[in-house]
Amino acid sequence: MKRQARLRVAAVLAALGVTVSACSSDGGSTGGGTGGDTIKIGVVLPFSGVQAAIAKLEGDGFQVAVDQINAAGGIDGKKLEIVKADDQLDTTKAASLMRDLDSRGVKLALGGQTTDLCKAEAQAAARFDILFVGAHCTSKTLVDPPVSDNFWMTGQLDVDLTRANGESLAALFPQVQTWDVFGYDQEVTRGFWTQTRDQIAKSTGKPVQANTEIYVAAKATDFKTQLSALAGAQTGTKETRGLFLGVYGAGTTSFIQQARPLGILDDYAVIAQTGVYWTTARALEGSAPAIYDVHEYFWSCQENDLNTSFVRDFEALTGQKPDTGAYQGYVAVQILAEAIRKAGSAEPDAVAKAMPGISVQTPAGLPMTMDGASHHADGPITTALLTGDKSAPESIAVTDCKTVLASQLR
Amino acid sequence: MNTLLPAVVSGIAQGVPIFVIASGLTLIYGVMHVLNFAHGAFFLVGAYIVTTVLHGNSLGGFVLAALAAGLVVAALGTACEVLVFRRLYRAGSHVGFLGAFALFLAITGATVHIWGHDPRTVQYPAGLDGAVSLNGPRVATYDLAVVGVGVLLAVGLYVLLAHTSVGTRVRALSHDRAMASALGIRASRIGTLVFAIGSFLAGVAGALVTPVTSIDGSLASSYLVPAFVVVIVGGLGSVPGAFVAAVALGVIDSLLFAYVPSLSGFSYYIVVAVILMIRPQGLFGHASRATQIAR
Repeated sequence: MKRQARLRVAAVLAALGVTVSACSSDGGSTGGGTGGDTIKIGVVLPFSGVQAAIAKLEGDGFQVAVDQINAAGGIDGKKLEIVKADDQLDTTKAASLMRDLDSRGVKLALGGQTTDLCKAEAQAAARFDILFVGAHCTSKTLVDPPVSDNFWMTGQLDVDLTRANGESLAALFPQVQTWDVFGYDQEVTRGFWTQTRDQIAKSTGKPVQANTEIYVAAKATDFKTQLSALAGAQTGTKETRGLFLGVYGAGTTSFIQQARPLGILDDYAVIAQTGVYWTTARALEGSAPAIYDVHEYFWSCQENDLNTSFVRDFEALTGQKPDTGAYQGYVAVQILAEAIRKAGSAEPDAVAKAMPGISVQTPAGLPMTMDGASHHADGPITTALLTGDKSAPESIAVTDCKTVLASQLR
Repeated sequence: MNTLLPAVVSGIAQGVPIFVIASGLTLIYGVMHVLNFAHGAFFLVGAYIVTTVLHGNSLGGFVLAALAAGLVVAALGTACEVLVFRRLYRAGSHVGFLGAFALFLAITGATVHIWGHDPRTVQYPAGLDGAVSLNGPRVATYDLAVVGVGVLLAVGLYVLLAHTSVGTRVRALSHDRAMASALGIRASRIGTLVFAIGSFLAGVAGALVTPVTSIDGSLASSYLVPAFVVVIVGGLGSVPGAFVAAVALGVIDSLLFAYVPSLSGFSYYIVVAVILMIRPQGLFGHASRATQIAR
């Protein structure tokens, strides 16, 4: 009896653990069933786990777009309603999540945090006749041809992001001839470097020298040994050296924190990164080193009415400035809403037929247009220098902005 | 020599924080036979406590914040032992492990409610924000200070366990719980004390990593896996074993990076695989005894 009682204690604790963990993930559904006057839109993101902070901002971007559309009367009188689904950054949950969304009457979904998740979720969505828009997907392997007929992608391709970064770096830092590389040992991060390197070489007409290339295990955050080696391996003068960072998230923060006392951050004319630096820069509370970054959007780079209303409404909802993830969510909803308007229906087949040629203005100041053949939208890409500055909003000064359409880079 | 010395120093600096985490883990296992998965959550709470109580970058403030982190986490660990683990001891180690995992989930989930999703950072303490040159390559002063703290904690633990009456009772309990109880040792009280000490170490370890990493939910598991590897390699329940294993693994990883870079990311797994094949009980473990604390 006592043994059973102890097992019950363990079972109750396990249930409590899962419950608290799940509640903290902010991944609960905000709707259920099929309403006659609403169009349900699934938002599939890792609301719990290591990317929860990023996913929360992305989810808030979706919410701002939905709130604005609803405030303007909805789509043909129907309000949009978000139904959240937490994929926990786990591709094996794709099928059960899509089944759950289907049972809740959701036939249109957005999300996709990583290439693997985009693929798994798009293919799982196809089995339930759900149209899926990859808002945060950036891999060329997902489109042209699309991984499934129901999949449409609004995230800009990483090859275009790196091209934009390389082009801007070549223009702003032509004297930098030698680069050190520090990144996660992943095909995608190695690719970021080689594509950036090739674009710099193409733009400057000179070969790019790679001095030290250090790759560490993915998700590692302890770089003491590698940084000690990097600090002792530099060549040339500071003015001719650049550092390319291929770590992200907690890895970027840890790199900066551990590199700072060694003086590494002051040893380069420029530090460049492809990916989200905003969250890290904000966490460093004004002490973030200047990093030349590329993504689709930086809130202070644009001055237009649409951006003003997006930033205002996002701040009202969250108390923060929108980052690129929030922008991606916002724009994906706008594309989907425009397709629903054009189709005159929220049925996935009708929306899919309406997708080709859909074009919306974006807060980044340039339009985004969906291509019917590749299932990928051509949209803006922005490069900028992000520097810690306690006097700036969120302690990040954004300068040297440059925004171009992705198609102009090819 | 130009590569060897900095690689060894960096390896030690890498291994010692892992030892501080692993020491609490192995101490609790050695006495209570609980493989405390919640230790990662305790570690995370320690780091968050520092972000909450520390303002500015004074060295004294940081030391006080680290002590506060240790004490708060010790209180949390004590509460967990009294309210949860004590009810599960007789149900077997698998039930205890389930309880520990549930606590891990519950505590990490609670940290999101208390401290939010956004990552946090902490400044280096004043005076420890520079680096020293070792025959060329540089090593952070803070890392050297952490090595010093780790050695102090190791010596302190050894003295506590080997040369005090409390340590004698702890060792007696770890060797033979029934006999120790028959001789008048209050097993439950000693068990709670061990949990408090182990949790204190987790809190201090969490505090020590705050200037060098991103403080967010992922921290709970990122240091826990290397800590478990250290406990296995050192011998389950052996504090000296944890120290030797942590330093050795750090140095091996560092040397592999210097001389065979392609293997450096796998060094912990290679070592644990080799140790499990040739000495399954770990470096300081004993095949015929489940526990060997302070041996």
